[in-house]
Amino acid sequence: MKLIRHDSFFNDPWTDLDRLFESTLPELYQWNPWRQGATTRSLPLDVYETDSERVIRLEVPGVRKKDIAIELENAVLSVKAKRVDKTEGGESSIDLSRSVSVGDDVDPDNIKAQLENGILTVRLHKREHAKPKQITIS
Amino acid sequence: MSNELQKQETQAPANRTAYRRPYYTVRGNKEHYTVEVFMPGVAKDDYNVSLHHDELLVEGHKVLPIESEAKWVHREITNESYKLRLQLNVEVDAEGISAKSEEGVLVITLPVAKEARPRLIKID
Repeated sequence: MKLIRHDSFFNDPWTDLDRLFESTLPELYQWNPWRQGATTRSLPLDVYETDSERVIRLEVPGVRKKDIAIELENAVLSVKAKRVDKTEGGESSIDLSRSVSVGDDVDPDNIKAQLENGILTVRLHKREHAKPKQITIS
Repeated sequence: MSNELQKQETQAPANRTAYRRPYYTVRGNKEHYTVEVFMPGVAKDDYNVSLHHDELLVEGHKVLPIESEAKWVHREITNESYKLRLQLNVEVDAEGISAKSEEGVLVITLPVAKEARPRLIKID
């Protein structure tokens, strides 16, 4: 028997329409990296920067720390993650990856990564000369 | 135009933008069901799971802070909180519901009520 009878979203008049589109055009209608089907999927990502660092943030729910590989090569940061699903008949895994250009002004020896609540935060420190400098007029 | 009609027009889209419906999976057997709700960015204490009659309500308050002086370069992750309302088709044991969060995924275990489990009937 199916557990869910109805998935209602606050009596939202669009819910039924959403469901119709999702069932007929799943790939086009809702981009979702967790959907079953493809073997390698992309990850949603945020990039923001402060004066001293550039921060990359990715959504990786359900991925363990040991299943994440972060690499920096030629100013491109690549994140590869593997999500392992326990199913009744054993295990299945999904590969997720995303690459982003981070600029050549970051220090490759000063990168910090942190995983918390399914959010991976990579902090790249900018090199000294890349930081904005105030120039006084003499 | 009556006032009532105007009210409806303004109410409907407001709910839609305030919350995001998380992606979820369901699997189970005769004894219990497991619902996995994907809510990255929600801390352990910011989840709320409740059962009202046959409706399971899952809420997750998403907090993704950035430094006040930071500037956005690119943005794909929304900071909307999550809300999922599921009408259950199977009678579950409300007292036995348990939930745990693992790396942004809330795993809810719903035991099937004893009365709803299949029973083997002996033939005399």
